[in-house]
Amino acid sequence: MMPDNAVFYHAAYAAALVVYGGYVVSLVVRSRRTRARERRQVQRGLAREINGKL
Amino acid sequence: MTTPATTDDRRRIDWLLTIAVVAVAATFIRAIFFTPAEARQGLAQKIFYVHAPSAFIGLYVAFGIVAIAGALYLWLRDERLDRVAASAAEVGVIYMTVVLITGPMWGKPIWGTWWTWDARLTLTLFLWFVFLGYLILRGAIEDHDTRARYSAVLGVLGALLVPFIHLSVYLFRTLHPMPIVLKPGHPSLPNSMLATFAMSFVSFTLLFVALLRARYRLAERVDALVAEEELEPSPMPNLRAEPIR
Repeated sequence: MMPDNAVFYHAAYAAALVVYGGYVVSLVVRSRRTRARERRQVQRGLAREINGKL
Repeated sequence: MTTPATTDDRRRIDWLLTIAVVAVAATFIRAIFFTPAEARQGLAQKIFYVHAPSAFIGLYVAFGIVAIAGALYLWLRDERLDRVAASAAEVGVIYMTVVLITGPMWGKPIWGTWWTWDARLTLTLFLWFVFLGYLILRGAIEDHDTRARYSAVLGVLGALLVPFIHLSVYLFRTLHPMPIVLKPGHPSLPNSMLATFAMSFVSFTLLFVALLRARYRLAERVDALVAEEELEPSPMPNLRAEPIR
């Protein structure tokens, strides 16, 4: 008779989903933060240019 | 300096990552609904389709890349190699985390215990700690060259554990089974299970490539930002130069 242990494989698949999904989300969040830093850098560069002209 | 055009480029959807996520989702569906359960182990055997590909890719591919890129960095001093090694180490730690979580979940119903301190399991846990230390080391050192050099050495030395982990099931008496697919001769799996395993292997490899690529691109952007910020003058002279209105 086949043992009833489906709960273990459900938990394992859920855990894998959380770990891999969490990592994808962390990459997206870090990418957005980097984009914000890039924008701030562009703004700082523009401000320096304007200050230089004035 | 970053131009608006390149910033827009980075907003585009990462199609490779999207395809990889869809492929992994399709693998999960096939494994859960369209693959027969093993008679003696029951449904817990389906953990194999997540555990085994994650272990193979994390252990051999990811940490192999860390070692090769690290060794090449020590030789060529090309910062792209450092980025490749760092990205592969991070993704490898994620893969091995999945291995170390799903392994005990498979072990409990089959072996009757969540964990045993046998050679394969202990060495795998040790390897995970070594590469977690690798990532912490990278975060702790600010100087780029020092960080790249130290982490390359640690990456090469850490990856030396991989052959021992591979051979541990042959050299020591362990609870962990010997390879049933990646071994000399025919795999010990029926075709329906073998097809699901092949699909999971391809999809997790695709996911690895997509994650590695995304992580490398992120590292490239962060390095470019840091390099530009180092060239920027201090904000104080700007404040003094601002005209009084």
